[in-house]
Amino acid sequence: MPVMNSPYNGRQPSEFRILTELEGVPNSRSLEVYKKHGGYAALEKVLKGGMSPDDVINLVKASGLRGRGGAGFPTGMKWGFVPKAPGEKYLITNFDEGEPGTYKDRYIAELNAHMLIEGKLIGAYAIGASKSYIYLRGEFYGEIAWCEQAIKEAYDAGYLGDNIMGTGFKHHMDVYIGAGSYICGEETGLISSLEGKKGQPKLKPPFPAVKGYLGQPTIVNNVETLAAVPWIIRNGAEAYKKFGTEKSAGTKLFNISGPVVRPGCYELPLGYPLKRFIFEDCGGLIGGKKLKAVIPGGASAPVLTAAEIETITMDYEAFAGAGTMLGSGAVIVIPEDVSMVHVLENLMHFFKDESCGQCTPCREGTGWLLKMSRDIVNGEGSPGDAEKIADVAGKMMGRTICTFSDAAAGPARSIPQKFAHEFLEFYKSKQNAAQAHG
Amino acid sequence: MASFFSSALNETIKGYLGRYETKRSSILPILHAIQDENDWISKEAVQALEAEHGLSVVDVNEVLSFYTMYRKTPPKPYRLEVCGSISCWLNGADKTIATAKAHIAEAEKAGKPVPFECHKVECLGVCGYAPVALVNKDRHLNVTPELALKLIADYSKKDLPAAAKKCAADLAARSSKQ
Amino acid sequence: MSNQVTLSINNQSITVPAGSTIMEAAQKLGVSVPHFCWHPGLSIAGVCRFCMVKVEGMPKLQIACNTPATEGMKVDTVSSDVKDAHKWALEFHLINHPLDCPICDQAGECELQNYYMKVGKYQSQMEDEKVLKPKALDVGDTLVLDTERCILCSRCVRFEDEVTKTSTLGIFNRGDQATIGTYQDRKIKHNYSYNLADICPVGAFTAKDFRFKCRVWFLKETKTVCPGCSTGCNVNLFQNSNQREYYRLKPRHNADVNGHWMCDTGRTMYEHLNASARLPAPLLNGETVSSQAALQAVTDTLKSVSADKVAVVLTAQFTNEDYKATLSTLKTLLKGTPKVFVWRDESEKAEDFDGILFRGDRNPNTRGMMDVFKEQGVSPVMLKGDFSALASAAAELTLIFGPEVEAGYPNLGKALSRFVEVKKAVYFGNTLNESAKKMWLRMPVKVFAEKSGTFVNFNGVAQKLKANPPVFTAVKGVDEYFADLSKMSQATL
Repeated sequence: MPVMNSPYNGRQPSEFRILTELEGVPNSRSLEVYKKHGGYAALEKVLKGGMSPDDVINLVKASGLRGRGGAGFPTGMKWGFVPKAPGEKYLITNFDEGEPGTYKDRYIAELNAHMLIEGKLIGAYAIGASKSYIYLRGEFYGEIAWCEQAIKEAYDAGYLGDNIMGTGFKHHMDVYIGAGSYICGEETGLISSLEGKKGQPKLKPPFPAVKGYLGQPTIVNNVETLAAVPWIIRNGAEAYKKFGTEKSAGTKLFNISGPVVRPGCYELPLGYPLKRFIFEDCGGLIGGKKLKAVIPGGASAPVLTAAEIETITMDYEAFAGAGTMLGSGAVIVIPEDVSMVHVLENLMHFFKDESCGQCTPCREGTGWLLKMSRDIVNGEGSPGDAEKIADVAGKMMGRTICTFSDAAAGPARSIPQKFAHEFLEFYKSKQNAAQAHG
Repeated sequence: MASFFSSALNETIKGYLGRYETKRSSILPILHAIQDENDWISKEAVQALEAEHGLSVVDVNEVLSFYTMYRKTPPKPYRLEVCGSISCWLNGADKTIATAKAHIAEAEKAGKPVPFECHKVECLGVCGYAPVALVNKDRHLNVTPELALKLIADYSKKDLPAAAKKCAADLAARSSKQ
Repeated sequence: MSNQVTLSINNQSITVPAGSTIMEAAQKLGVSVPHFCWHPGLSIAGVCRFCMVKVEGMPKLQIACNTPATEGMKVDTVSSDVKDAHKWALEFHLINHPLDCPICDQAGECELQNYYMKVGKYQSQMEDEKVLKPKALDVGDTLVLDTERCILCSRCVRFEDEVTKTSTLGIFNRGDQATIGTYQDRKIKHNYSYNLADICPVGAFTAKDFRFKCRVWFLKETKTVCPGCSTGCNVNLFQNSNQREYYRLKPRHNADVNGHWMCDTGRTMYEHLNASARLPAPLLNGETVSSQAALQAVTDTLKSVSADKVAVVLTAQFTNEDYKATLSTLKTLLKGTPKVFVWRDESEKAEDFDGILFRGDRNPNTRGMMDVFKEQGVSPVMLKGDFSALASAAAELTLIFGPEVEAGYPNLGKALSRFVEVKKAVYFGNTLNESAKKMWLRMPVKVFAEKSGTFVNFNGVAQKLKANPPVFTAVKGVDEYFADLSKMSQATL
C-alpha cells in the first residue's frame, strides 16, 4: 500500500486521503462499503440540498480543482463553457490512461469505481447532461468489469435512471471500450472513437464544450478529476484548498515507475517535493543506483536532470517554470547506467506508433524522428544528428491539430539538449567499435 | 441465406447496433465481439457486417486497420503481449520479450511448438509493476524473463480457449474447401 | 452591416461576410495562401497544416482555412516565421513522397511542385529510407491510384462523402502507414470520378485515358461550355496546339451552373473533336467534293423547290446563331417557312436528373433552340422514334442537323437509315456512322470547340462557347455555311 513515508507540513500521511480513503479497506469495491465511507452523500446534497447546477460549478471553481488527465485546465471553468441552451449534452470520462508511466485512474476503479460514478453524476447535473459514457481503453479488461459492475449497482440502487433519488433528475451512463490507441486519450480523439471512427482528434474551433460528440456540447473529464468531486462537495472548496499550493489546489495521485524500491500510486498534496517523493516515499532506486534523470509527468514531459530536481515541487507552476510539465503526474526515474540515447529511441518509437496520421507534420515527423534516433543507436550517428532531431521536433510543435506533436517534441528536444555530451560519447564509442571490427 | 455469424454473435451484434446514439458507434464493440468468438476478424466477417447489418465496409475497415487490438490474421491460441514502453523498458522488458521469442522459436524448431506468439506492445497502464504483459485477456505484472517462460509453460498445459479452437476449426474448414 | 467583418491581410483591407475564414478572405482579396487540403467545394479538414498565417494577438501561427475572420483582425502571410512554417510544411510533405516526377502525369500541374517553386526551394534534410506503399492501382474504369504519391489531404474522401455520397474511399492504418484506398478491390463507380483526379493536388489519382499521353505543358486551355447535356457545365478544354489534338476537359467553377464539378460523361467530349473521329470533307453522292461544290448543289435545289417542300430536321445541339442563320436564310431564300422538325432520340428521358449535374436531355441547347423558334414564329413537329410525320411531309429537300455528341443518341444508326429514305437528304454533321453513307450530301461542320456561339442551358442561362482554330481548316460552322448559301443564291439571281 503506497503511502507517504512520514508527516508532511505538520500533517499525518493519513490526512492526505481524498481519493484513497478506501485503500486497505476490505471489499472496498462494494457499494455498501462506499456508502459507509460517505458514498453518494455528495450526490444527495447536490440533488436534494437545493444546489443549482451553477452552484455546483461555482463550488468546483472555488476549489481550484484542475484537470488531472494532463492538461491541468480548471474543471469548474471547463464546465462553465457548456451553453445553457436546451438540447442534448454529454459528459464523457476519459479512462483511456495510455500515457507511459501513468497508472492512477485504474487504481481509482480498483479501489471503488463509485467514486467516479458519483463525481460524474454531479458533473452531469452541473452541465445538464442526461447521458454519459466512461470511455475505457480496451486493454483494461479488469477495470472495464469493475466499472460495468458499479454502473449496474448504481442503477439498482436508484443512483442512475430516469428519476434519480426521486428528484426527477434523469441520467443514464454506459461504458464504451476502446481498441488500442493512445491518441484516444486526447479529448476530441476520444470523441471520434466514441462515434465509431478512427480516434483522430478534431479541428478546434469548434470546441467540444460547444460542439463535441455528435455535434452536441460535450465535456471530457479525466477519471481522477471526477473522482475528486464528491469529496469537494461534501467538504467544501476551502477544505480542498487546504491541500496543495495556491494555484495547484488539492491532492493528486502520483505514479512512479522505473527501477524504484516501492513503486505505486501515491496520493500526495500538490506542491510536494519531488526528491522527497522519489527517495523517501518510494525508497530510492533499486540497488542504490544513482539517479541520472527524471521524466516528471509522463512520456511527453521534457526530461529533468538529477541536478534539476533538487528542490523542485510537484505542482503545475513549478514544473512549467522548469520547462517541463506536471502532466498526468507520472514520475519515471532513469538510473545512471541507462543510456539517454536509448531512452530517446524508445520514446520516439512510442510516438511513431501512436501518431494517428491525420496531419502531415506529425504523421511524417514522428516517423522521421524515430528513423533518426534509430540511426544513432545503430552506430550511424555523427555530431549534429541529435541537434537535428531536436530541430525537426521543434518544427512540428504548435503546427498540428492536437498537441501530440508537442508531446513528441518534449523528449525529442529536451534529451538532445540536456544530454548532448552523452550523444557525443555515443558516436565516438560506436565509431571505435566499428573501427575495431572493421 | 445462412448468416456468416453464429446466432449468439448475431444477437450480440444487434445489441450493440441499438445501444449507442448511432449505428456507427457500434463498430468498435462489434469487432471485439467477433474477435472474442473467432479469435480474429476476417474479410468475410467485414463483408458480412455490410451485407447482413448495413455497416459500411470502408468505415469498418478504417477502424479495423487503425486500432491495434484487432487481429486481421489468424493468431496462435495465446498472445503474450509485453509492454515495451519506457517504464517497462527501464525494468528489462526487452529481455523478457527476447527470451520469450527465442523460447517460442526454439520450441518450434525442436518440433514441440508452444501455442504462443509474442509481441511488443505500447504502454499497458500499470507501469509501476513493470514489465507488464497480457496473455490474451489476463494481465500479469513484474513479468521477468523467468516469469514469461513460466507463463508460457503454464498456459500451454491448459485446455485451449474456445476462440482458439473455433479459429483452428474454421481454418481447417477453409483449407479443406480448397 | 453587422454581418460583415473587415480585416486586413498584409496591410490590405478586405470585407467579408461574418463567419468567413481567413482563407476565404484571402481568396477574395487575391492573396495566395499556400494550401493542399482546403477546397472551396468541400468541408474543412485542416490536415495539411500548410496554410499557416500569423494573426496579431495570437501567439501561435494559425491555419487560415479554419480560423474565423473577425473585425479588425490583422493577418500576415509573408513574414519570415510564416515563410519558415510554409517551408517546413512542405518538407514534411516531401520526406516520404516518391521521386516519380519523370513518370508522373501530374508533373506541370502538381501542387507539390508548384509550391516547392513558390515557397520552398530548399535542400531537404531527409536522408533515411522513404515509406513505401502500393502504386498504380486500378480503382475503376477511369482512374489509377498511386497511394505512395498521396499526401493524405483527404479531399477525395470528402468528395466521396459529401458530393457523390458514395463514400467509397477511406484512409486506413495510422501514423505514416496511413494509406488512401477503396475497400479491398472495390472500384469507384459513379459518373463523377474524374473530379477526384482534378482535386487530387498530386499524382495519386490520375486519369486512365490521359495516362502517359501528353505532358501538360504542351496543352493550351480554352474556356468553353460542355455540350454533353442541358446543364452546360463550364469547362476548360485542353488542346495540344502543335498537333491540333484535344486531350481532356476539366470543370471550371461557375456558382450558377455547375459549381466546382462536371460529370464523367462530359469528360469524353474531346474524343469526337479529333480528326480520326470526324468526317473531313463533304461527300456528294458518296464522292468527296469541295464545300463550294457541295453548297452549290444545295443552292440549285433550293431554287427549284417551294417552302412547303423543304423539311428542316434539327437536333438541339447547335448554337443559337446556327439556328437563326439557318431559319432566317431559308425563309428568305424560299420566301416562306419550311417544315421544321425536332429530332430527339427515342430512348431519351429528358426530365431525368441524377441529382448532381447530369441531365436526361442530352442536348446542350434545347432552351436556346426553343427561344429561336419563338422568335422566328416556328412551330416544330417532334420526331422521337416515329418518323412518319417526316415521311408524310414528302419533302423534296430535307436538311438534317445531326447530333455532334452521338452518345446522347444511342439510336442514331436507326434514325439515319430512316433519313436516307427521304429524297435529297442533306446531313450537316460529322458522323462516321455507316448508316449515313446513303445520304445525298454529307456536310462536315465545326464542333463546339471551334465555335463561338451561344448555348442556353435548361435553366435559361445563356453561355458563350470559345472558338479554337479548326482541326480541318476547310470545315465551317452551320451559320457560316448559310451565310455562304445566302451569298451564292444572290449571286445567281
